[in-house]
Amino acid sequence: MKEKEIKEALSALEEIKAVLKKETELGLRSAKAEFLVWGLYQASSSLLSYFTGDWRYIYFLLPFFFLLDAFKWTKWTAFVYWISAFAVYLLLLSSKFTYLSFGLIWLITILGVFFNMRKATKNTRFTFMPALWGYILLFNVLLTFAVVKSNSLVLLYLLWPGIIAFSLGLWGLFSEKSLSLFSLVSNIAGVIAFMLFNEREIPLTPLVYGICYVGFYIYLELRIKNSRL
Amino acid sequence: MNPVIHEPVRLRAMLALAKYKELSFKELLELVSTTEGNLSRHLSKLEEAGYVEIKKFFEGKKPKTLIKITEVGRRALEEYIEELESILKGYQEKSEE
Repeated sequence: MKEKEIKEALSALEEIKAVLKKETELGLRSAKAEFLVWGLYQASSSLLSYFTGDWRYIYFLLPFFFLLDAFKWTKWTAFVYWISAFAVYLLLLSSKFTYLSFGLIWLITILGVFFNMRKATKNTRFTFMPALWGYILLFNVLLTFAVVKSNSLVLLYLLWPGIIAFSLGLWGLFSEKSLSLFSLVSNIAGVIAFMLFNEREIPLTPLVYGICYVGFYIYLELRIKNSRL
Repeated sequence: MNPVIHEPVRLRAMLALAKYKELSFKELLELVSTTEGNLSRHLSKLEEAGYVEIKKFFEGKKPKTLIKITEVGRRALEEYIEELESILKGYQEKSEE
């Protein structure tokens, strides 16, 4: 076999590796921002619920973090979304129809997720995320009604962040394996914290998840910087 | 080895297009990591060979370019990879002897 041919084949193999590496890097870059936004959401909603004693801060803050996430969208979808979410939020603050307001907030949030679909379909790299968020949010609406109706509200602090972490871990099984490890670690940490906390401290459970999210964000940042993909 | 595909930028572009089927110029640029001019030049060569289709249109007032791999291009890439595998396999067997 000619030496030149082998050299050419090896250099082609390097090119294939370079494309795969670049693809992983781009995927991780988009995942990284999601982890920072949702980590901060878990931490801030947890702290506000704890200090005010009002569990509804989990919902009050949610649209604002979707808005933060929306900076990555096109300017018009972001603008329409900001205006709608603010209107619903103001309505919620002055409304006594809490359930109806929650329903509206979820509707706006889910619509916000699917607004992004147009961009998502252009590139399979982004296709899965909006659909995943749609399912997570829909499931959470059902979960909220179930825990509120059964008077076991404290479970919400464990189940809500747990479901997000589990779903991201499931997504990781098909794309990035370290996401599954993140899911496992944060869910174990969340359950342990939930069991150790007393009744007053239970709203701090999502904070544990938030710390895991931000920790995973830092891990992804370092991994991209050091190009260990 | 197929000289049209066996060029680093064209090989990267073909691999990315084979995976995503269709990409915008901007998305392909991100994956291939080169300059706009260089990518344009190499895409023209791939288009001449019938390996890709380039669609240019306006989305509102913004010009947009979409690049899609053709069936001929996909087959050529598959043959290229098969050839690459056989060369590397031969190299591996030789170095094990």
